[in-house]
Amino acid sequence: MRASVHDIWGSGRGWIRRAAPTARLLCGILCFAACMTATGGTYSGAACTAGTCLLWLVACRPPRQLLLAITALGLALLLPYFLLLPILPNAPAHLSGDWSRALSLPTTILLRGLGGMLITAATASALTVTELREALLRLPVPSMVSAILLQIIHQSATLYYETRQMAAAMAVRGATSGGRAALRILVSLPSVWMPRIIARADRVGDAMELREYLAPLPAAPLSRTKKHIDIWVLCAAAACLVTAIALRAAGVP
Amino acid sequence: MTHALPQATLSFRGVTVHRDPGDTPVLRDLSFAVAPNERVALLGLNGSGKTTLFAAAAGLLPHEGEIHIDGQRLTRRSCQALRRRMGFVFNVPEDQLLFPTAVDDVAFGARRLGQSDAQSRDRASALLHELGMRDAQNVPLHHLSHGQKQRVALAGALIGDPALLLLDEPSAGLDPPGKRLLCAQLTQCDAAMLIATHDLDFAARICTRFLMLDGGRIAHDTALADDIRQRWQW
Repeated sequence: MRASVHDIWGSGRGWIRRAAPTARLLCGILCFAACMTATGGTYSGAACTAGTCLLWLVACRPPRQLLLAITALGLALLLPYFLLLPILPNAPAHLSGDWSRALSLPTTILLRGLGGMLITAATASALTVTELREALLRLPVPSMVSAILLQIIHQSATLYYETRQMAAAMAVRGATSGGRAALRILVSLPSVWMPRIIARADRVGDAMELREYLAPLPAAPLSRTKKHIDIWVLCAAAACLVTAIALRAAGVP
Repeated sequence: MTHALPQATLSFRGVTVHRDPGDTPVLRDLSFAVAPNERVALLGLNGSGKTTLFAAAAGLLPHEGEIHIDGQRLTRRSCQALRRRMGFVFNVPEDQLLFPTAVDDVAFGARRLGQSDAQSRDRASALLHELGMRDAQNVPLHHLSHGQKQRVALAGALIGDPALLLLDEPSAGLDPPGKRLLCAQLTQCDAAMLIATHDLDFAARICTRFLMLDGGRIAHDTALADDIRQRWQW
């Protein structure tokens, strides 16, 4: 079966997988926060973002294909911001050619956006969905929030495969494939796909009710193993965030 | 509170169910009972109301009349406790699988009953093994075939040792060895069962009683599968 976007969960082969799922998830969150906090417009901030991102990618070792796909997507989404340079308030035309100031905003958007996407993808590759669930159970996340989050991940995978089957059925019945089939699906989205999804959501809702999915589980001790690696990786990720905050607060160029 | 006959695990008394308020009823004044350990097949044409009957028995649809499970009347207040005594298999198994892998999904039922994570996973693993799913336990569910998902759903229904099993077309999409395995598993199970199916041969291997649902009513109640074959040309 062809791989899909949902197969990124747990696809990483980095050493971070030796750490507990909760530590992995927290590290991902800390690295993401560091990336978003660092000032993109300064050399030190850019270096902090890039360094954090690189360290996390090395720790998670997501598949190369995934990295390339995310990078391509990120560049496609974020590079067009540079086209807005002429209409930005501090554009070079108004500042007698001060390109470095003009580039600061789109560069910040690019660095933060791409860094955030890569860190998120790497974090997903470092956790299977089961491990994500375990991590969320251990963290003080409201059960309703974690349940909905997990269902979004789980059901979107199922819907993805269902949509592919629909595309295959359309290709067979309409003798089209590839781009034309995709276009047909797009056109038929409101009339075919949406009613199916709504009916399905109803049935999944029934199943959740019957299985008491959202009710708190009876207390049972979760197996807990304290590992030194958890502490070390958490400290390293926290150090990245502290560095980003410090650089920003001190205004280091 | 009205009590059903003590020997019935599931009983319907004059039950009428509307899919939507004001619509023509899907089930009309329906009465029947399923005794403990009894395995009953529910047959009927498409749209005859089999799935609606199951939804009403699970408390998912409002009903007129009385439904009793294990002697207790099904009401809005009691339905949560009563559901814990039931196991369900939907006719589309994907709809009831809520976890990323088979073992996680099945283990959830045991966790719900208060077992530890490790115990639940061991039990789920053993049950999946019995159902011929040893190698697919940790495979993401969206990579499993329809028949495999059906078995995961069945394992999820069986793990709580329910008093009543409601199985909506459990053999649909199963290959012949899968059906044989399912028959073996179900005949070993002590729970009372109501099995909605179109497959009379499959039902005849498991069930001791056959109900024919027609026009929202029980049109035929027999212990002989051949009666159904002859009278309904099934």
